[in-house]
Amino acid sequence: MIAPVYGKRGQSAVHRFDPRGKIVLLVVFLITFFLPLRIEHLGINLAVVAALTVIFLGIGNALRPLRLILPILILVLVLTPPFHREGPVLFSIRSVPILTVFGLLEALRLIVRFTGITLIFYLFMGTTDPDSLALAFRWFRLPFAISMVLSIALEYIPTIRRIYNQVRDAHRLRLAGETGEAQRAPRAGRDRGKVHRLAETIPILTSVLILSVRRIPTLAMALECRGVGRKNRRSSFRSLKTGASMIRDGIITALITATVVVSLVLFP
Amino acid sequence: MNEEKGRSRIPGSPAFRISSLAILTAVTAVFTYMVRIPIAPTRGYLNLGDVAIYFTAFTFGPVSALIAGGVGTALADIISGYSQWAPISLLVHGLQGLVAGLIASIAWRGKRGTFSLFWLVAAVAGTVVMCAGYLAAGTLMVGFSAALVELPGNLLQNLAGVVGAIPLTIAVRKAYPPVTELRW
Repeated sequence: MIAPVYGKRGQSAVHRFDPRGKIVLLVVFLITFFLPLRIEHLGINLAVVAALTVIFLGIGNALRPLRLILPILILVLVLTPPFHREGPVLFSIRSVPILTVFGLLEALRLIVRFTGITLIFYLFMGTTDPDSLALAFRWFRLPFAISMVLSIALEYIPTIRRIYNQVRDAHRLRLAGETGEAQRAPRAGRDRGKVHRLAETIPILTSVLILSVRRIPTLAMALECRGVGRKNRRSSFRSLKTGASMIRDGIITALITATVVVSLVLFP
Repeated sequence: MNEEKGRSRIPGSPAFRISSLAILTAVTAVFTYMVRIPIAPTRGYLNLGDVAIYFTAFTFGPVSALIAGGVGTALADIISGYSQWAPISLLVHGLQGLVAGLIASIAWRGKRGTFSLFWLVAAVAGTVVMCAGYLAAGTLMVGFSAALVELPGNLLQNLAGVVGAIPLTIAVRKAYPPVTELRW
């Protein structure tokens, strides 16, 4: 379900890397993007993340998140400089500074930060399957109940999406006559407004909610039959890597983290 | 057998809690990434995730709204390709659900199944939490000016959430009265 957004699943080194190590590295890189570093340093971090994304997800998949955030990047570039007028003036209108060096640098810093955060999350989600992610979160002491909620919710999203589509189609069929009337007066149909559209959606959402919450007791009984809620030790169908590969990935994670920390100390 | 069958219907049982949270999380995720009302001039859209969060807060209480609201919207962000916003959605929408649920719980102790003014107060408090949370997070990520541009959209979305959630909650309770027994 998640894979189509982030591209086809692969078998590269990053795909096979231990998800616990990936979570640690995600946090490390996120922290570096939020630190008040020099723009050159942030730029190098962004270049590293962008290069990894292109190498392991492909150029097409690397450009996809950038297309999604392009409007907000343009907003940042246009709106940030007028709020930071310190430093040498690059452009002014009637002696009012519009673009200064500091304003431009601040806009660039925010663009690099947001692009970096977007790409690192994209790389992380594109190379980690949800089951491994849930197991890794459990390894980091996420309560069993929450990881179970996460796993079941991911399984149920397609089911509820299907229910929504069925109910919506059923309502459309019931309202076919009314739709025909609206087609005869298209302008009236267009001017109905968002409140009317929301009102039209309420009956569909009501049916979807009722059909969904009615499943709760059945699902609860199924979970109890599987032993959820009992005190005895739980077994797991899937487990994370152990042994040599776990140690190797742990060492790589520690080395990358150490490199990032040293670079932060040497080139603040 | 009957005893076994009846036990899982007890809203306090772990299996019941897990299943109700999972279903409500999935509902919130679907309402967020699938149910969209286009806004013609800007080519943007309103999502109805807030409708699901407020419904959960009014009907299932603060803890369910905290988890289902936070995790559901975070999952929707991940599925739609906006995973960079997922941790923020988890926190902000979770808090929004918790605050709305706590205030709505006052109404729960009083009358059941009818409209309560507390729902409006809860929704206003939830709106404030959500808008302030996104403004703060947006300021950190893209700067104050760009984050401020998003504020009217967030307000409009919350307004749609409130306008949708109150009739929806009443309609669901009328059409399916046992829903009130699923609260834990």
